[in-house]
Amino acid sequence: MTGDAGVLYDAGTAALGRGSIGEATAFLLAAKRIDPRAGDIRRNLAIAERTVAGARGEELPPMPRGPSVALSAAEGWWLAAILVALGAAAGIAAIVRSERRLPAGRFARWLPRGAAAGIAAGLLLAAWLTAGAASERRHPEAVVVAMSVEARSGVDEAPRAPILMRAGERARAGRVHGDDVEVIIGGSPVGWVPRAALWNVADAPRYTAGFRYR
Amino acid sequence: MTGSARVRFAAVALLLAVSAPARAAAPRLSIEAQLDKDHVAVGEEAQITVVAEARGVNLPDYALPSVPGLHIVRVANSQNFSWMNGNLSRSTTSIFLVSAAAPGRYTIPPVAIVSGRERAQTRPIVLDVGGATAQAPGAPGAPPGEAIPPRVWGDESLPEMFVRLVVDRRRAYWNQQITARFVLFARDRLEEVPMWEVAEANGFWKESLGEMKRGRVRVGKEDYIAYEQDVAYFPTRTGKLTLGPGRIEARVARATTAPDPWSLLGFPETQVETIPLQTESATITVLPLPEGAPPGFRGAVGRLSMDVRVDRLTARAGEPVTVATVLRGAGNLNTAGDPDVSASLPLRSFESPGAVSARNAGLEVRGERRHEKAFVPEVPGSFAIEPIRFSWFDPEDGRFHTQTSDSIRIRVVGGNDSTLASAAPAEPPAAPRGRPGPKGSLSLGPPAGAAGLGAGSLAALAGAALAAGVRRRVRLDPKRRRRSELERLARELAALEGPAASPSAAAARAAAILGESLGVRYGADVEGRSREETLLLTRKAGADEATVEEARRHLESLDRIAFAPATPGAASEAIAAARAFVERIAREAS
Repeated sequence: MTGDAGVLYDAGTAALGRGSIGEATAFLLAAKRIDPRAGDIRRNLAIAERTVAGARGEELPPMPRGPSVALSAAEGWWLAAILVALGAAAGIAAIVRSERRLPAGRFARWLPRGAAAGIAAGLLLAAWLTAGAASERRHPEAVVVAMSVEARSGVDEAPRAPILMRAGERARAGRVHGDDVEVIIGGSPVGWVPRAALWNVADAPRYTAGFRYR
Repeated sequence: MTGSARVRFAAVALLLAVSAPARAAAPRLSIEAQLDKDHVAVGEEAQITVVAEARGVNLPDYALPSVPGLHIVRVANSQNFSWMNGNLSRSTTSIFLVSAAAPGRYTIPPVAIVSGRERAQTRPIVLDVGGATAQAPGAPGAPPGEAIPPRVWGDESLPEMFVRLVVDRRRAYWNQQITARFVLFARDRLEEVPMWEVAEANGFWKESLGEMKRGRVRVGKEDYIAYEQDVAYFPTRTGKLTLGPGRIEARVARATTAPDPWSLLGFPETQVETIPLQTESATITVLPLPEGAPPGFRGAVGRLSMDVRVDRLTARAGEPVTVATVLRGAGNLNTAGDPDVSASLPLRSFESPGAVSARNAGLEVRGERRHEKAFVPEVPGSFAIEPIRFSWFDPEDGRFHTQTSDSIRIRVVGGNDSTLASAAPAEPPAAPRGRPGPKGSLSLGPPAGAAGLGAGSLAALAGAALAAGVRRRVRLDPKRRRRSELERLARELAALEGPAASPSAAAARAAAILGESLGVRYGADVEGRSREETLLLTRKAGADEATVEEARRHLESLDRIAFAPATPGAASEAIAAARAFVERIAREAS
């Protein structure tokens, strides 16, 4: 799903203003995925996260200071592809020089090393991004939007004490069963909550005004 | 290694590194059972504490297996979960009371729990009921049949090594800290740092006070190195209890009495010897707490205090209000119960068991026990958190103390009330933009263009490397090399066929090329050889008789033209015939 960082940011800021911390967190996380260096998105998301941490009695995360060098997933993928392409170009140049037995200068000696370094860096970055994408595909990032919700054990599971989740708490969505979705925290399922209580970050644009399915 | 080979090697190494399996993780499931006393009278109860913990996996339920003749009742069960470095950790502590109606030795089999591929189990628990004891006589803490290690090694008046158990008090209240210091004194440096083995003490909750300390001390007039392990004990029952002994094995290097006769240099040799040592035991008299415990007292002993925090005084309907009680101070907070927290209205509530974080200070067990209870008001209005009482016993002044918080009133507003201060952020948020921003995908997968660029680049590199490899293989193929060399020689002969200025010179050059062609075709070294020697070597190299004879004819013909005047055009014919011959053997070569 595609989204507009400006529209998502405005929706998140409006939700923050009316105290809907869960919705604000979901919108701003979605906006940050598209435009991770925007100062206003980072600031308002930090405010939402500090509000959630304060309600949980946890240490408040710091407010963002100065410019950010973070990359969006798409930018990360392009960087990985460019690194691989540069490495491949250097490798092809090294092969051609070797085939034509051209004299080896300082630049030519560095071609194979540059090729290996470029390809290695690109593939490493791609592997990291692939792991993140696979994790998101398996268990999408989600945010509790209900004021509070109980994560209870499923019907076929051993009963365990319910866990209280508050608006703005971040988790990952697991299996879906009827109107319930499994909540995963730290890689472990902790219970089931109603689907309406949890928004997937990737689905946030559909809750913005003027959203149309294509 | 060529450039392309290095590139391929680096790429393969990278892929192998990326796909390498992760390090083996620590066990994620554990269960331990502890019996407070291993010998009881008929009808008397013993207590079994079972602690199960799961990190990142589900924690299954468990029960003690039934044993004929034993009566087992689960009297308490507490759960805890926490997030630590992104991992969810769950633990349960269950307390069982065990009693028997007839004397004898009872064994409770191991309790096993399984979660996915993780498995853990307790050790079997042995309980003696009646007059028989489980220990060998006179050897407290020593396994049956094993000799008791000495406390001193070396001369008694000036020992090389000795061990001591020092306790800070011999009389203590129930659940009061007793500090035990297990110390090994050694005159010489040991081969390796020894480790104290401190036996579990029946009737005590044990907690180590940090890592083993090492330092130089003076005992009498001698200097020793002291290896000290400090342990805090909290008695869980009253009466005369025994602490210790502690055991340690010291490894020392000793010079052998007689040098090894086979030693080349005849120097005295050293031998590492393991010396087991064992401290004495200490008898502790544990006093019960005095009468008159205040209501709500749950066994907290020490110098403690309570702090109460509420996360908001105004909440919206449906929004949880969390009340946290924090007990802190010196004492065994693991066994201190949490104070009751209640609201003036019947509200939906969620309680988390007390989480203890210990911060040992010197020889004192200090820490913090945090307990949270969240109330969820469903309708606007107000409610109150009732006063919270916490009682504890301070062994220093021998009195009970009680601390009570004030009642806390919470205002509840409607769910859509946007003027609520508690939910509003403390910092001013950045203003809305009011205009579109950059657009992009919320998927974390690769854009098609980036995937195409990366995959295409790698495919191009692989294609170039493959083509270069094929060309290199072709170049290095001996048959192909021979044929291309013969074809080159045939082209040189063809160049001589024209109207040369000197037919004799052309014929002489053609004869030389023909000889070289025979050498290339059959792998013979014919350079500088005469005609006959060339033909002889060619025959030896495997040429058949007909080929040798034909070569001879061509060579003789060319020699004639080279050394005798010839008619115009005769050189060209002879050279053309020689070229045809070379082309034929070039075809045969492949």
